[in-house]
Amino acid sequence: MTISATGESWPPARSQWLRYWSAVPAEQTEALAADIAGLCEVRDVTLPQNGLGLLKLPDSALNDLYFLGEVPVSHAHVEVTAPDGTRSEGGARLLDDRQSLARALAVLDATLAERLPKHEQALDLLNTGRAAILETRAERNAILATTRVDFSLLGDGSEDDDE
Amino acid sequence: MGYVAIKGGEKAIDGAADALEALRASGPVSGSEPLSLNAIEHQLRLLTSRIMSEGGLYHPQLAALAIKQMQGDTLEAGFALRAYRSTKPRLLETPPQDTGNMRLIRRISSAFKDIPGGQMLGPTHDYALRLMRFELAEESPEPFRKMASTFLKNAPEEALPDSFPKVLDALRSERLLPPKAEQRNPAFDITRDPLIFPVSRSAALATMARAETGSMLAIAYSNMRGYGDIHPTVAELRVGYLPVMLPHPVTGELTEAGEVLMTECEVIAMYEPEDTESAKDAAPEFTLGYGACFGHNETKAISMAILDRALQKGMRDGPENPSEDPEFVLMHIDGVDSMGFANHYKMPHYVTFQSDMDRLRSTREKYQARGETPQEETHES
Amino acid sequence: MNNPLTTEQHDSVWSPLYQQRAFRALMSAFSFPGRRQPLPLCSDATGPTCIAAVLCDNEVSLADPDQLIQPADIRRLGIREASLENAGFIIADGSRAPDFAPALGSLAEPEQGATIIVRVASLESTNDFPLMLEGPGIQDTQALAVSGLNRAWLAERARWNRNFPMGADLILVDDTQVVALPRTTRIRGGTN
Repeated sequence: MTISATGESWPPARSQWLRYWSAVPAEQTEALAADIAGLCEVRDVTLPQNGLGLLKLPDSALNDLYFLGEVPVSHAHVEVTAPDGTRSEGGARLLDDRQSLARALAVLDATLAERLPKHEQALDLLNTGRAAILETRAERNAILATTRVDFSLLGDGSEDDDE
Repeated sequence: MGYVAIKGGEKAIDGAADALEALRASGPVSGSEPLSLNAIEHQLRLLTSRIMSEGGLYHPQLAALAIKQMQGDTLEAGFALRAYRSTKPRLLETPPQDTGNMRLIRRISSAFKDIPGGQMLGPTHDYALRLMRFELAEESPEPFRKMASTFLKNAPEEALPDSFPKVLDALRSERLLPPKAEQRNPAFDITRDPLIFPVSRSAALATMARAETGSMLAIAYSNMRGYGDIHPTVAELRVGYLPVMLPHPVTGELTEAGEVLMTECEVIAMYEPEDTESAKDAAPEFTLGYGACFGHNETKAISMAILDRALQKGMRDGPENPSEDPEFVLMHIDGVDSMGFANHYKMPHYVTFQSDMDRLRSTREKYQARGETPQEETHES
Repeated sequence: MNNPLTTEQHDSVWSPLYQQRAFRALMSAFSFPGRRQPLPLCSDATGPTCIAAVLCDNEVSLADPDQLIQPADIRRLGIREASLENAGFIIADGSRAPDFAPALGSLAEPEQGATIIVRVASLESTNDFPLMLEGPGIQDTQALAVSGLNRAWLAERARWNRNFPMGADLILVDDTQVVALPRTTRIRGGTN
């Protein structure tokens, strides 16, 4: 059993950043990325793209690999250069159509990785995103907790099943 | 063959499109707000699920749009989603994703009551009376808006993990199941490669994952009801959000790129020794079937699991029933294929039919020349 | 964003609008083999890069033995690199005799034949090296003058294309114009 999004150190590992920023409204991350681009030079290492990816799963009965279907994917890989010459590469791959969003998150990724100017705001947005994820998690937890089956045997004194 | 260029229908075709749009907006003025995609995506979430899996593309917003545009025709909506996907570039193939990490909202087993982690019914109609709830006919927006937050407030304050172990893994550790394949063949891409029989199980699973729910249910039902041998037990049925992990463009580390709502089902079928030729020398063990699809669609996942089990048997020992024949099953369950073929008969076939009539007339002339009267002549149309 | 390669700059090879216009030019070039088509004005790349940006993505493979495209640009396009024998697209310097065997496809899959993008010095009309072209898409004949194309290309091309429908298609490009020589085009001349 995994318990994610809680009880972890702060700031979280880089592999968690995209998940958190994706949970923030896109206007906020795109606005911050535009601010950063106003201070730093942003260069595309690969062209931002959007398209589809084949979702591959092993079937859990016999372990054969198969494709469940396709998912939208956008991709960006940038290099951000700060006014003091510090360079940092950042990237994002999202299950989303918006390559502009992928590019914005790639800029935030680069910024936070090397603590470039405005990385504090990027960190704040991580927190915002984490809160949103915890909220979603609480909604799902409520579904599970509400519908958990409490089995008991007939005749063991608990016939008055009040559920 | 058999087609001629004809003209004269252009105005009528434009008019047909306008008429279709007009009907979408007609009806009493009150309450005829245009449908919002959000409303379709959430209030008709099972319909959206169905379109995503039949369209083969996990895109709830576009699935909602397709439903709106096609005025609720599921086959046309799936078609629209397929057409859309065909215009997009293929950027990648994900690494294999582990459905053991699904963040569940529902998890049940009809094999054991005490599955590790427990059973959670989640959102289901299973135990509801199928009585009409007439109060929904005149639903006021205020309580509707509060429903979700009230539910959240009243939920027990119990923190549960968001992913759970698989029931099958417990059975497997008791050596009652066939072992998992160690060597894995590459997955078959049905969007690029044609099905040439015999096909791999990977191709069969992918074909069923985007098949039309009703078509698959019908063939699976034939197997359950008598034209087959399955007596399945649902080892586990789970609905939840699969985190999709993609390599980070810079670090290469697997990083969560988003979530996909999916339904997954494993069925166990009873071992029957006389059942199989190949199993005669092997130690008896249960047989398994696997089903999965985008979205929340339990009928489809269960039907697929039953058909997977039936097709495995057919691939191994030769089909004894239609549902065990890979070609029969896999070529007839696709909604876009079958709907397209059925509907193409509406298109003008003036020349082919002309030719049919010519042939019939000349055959009759030959009969009459021989002094015989064909029987059909008695009921002339 | 202050990105020098922004996709909003319409004379940038990386902008969708540029690529659509250049695709249009290529389509016209293939519709009229041997006829020069102007490429849209490009501020940040040379001819071979412009053609590759239009035709290549991560689904095709490219060989660039003479390094006519900057490695960073190949990465930016996400193109897979392959050996000359296997590449779907080849970028070559036309001044040098071709010394490779491109993929020609098979009878079942002639579309697997390579497309070779040949950089030449100039496609401007001159009197030297006049070629006479015939074939589908050409009414009667089409004249073509090329400077900076090693003559060995014509002999090799004829050899590659002798088993139609297998063969290779050529795109000649300088920095402002493009000419298509599909495998169906027959070429005479070029010897004086």
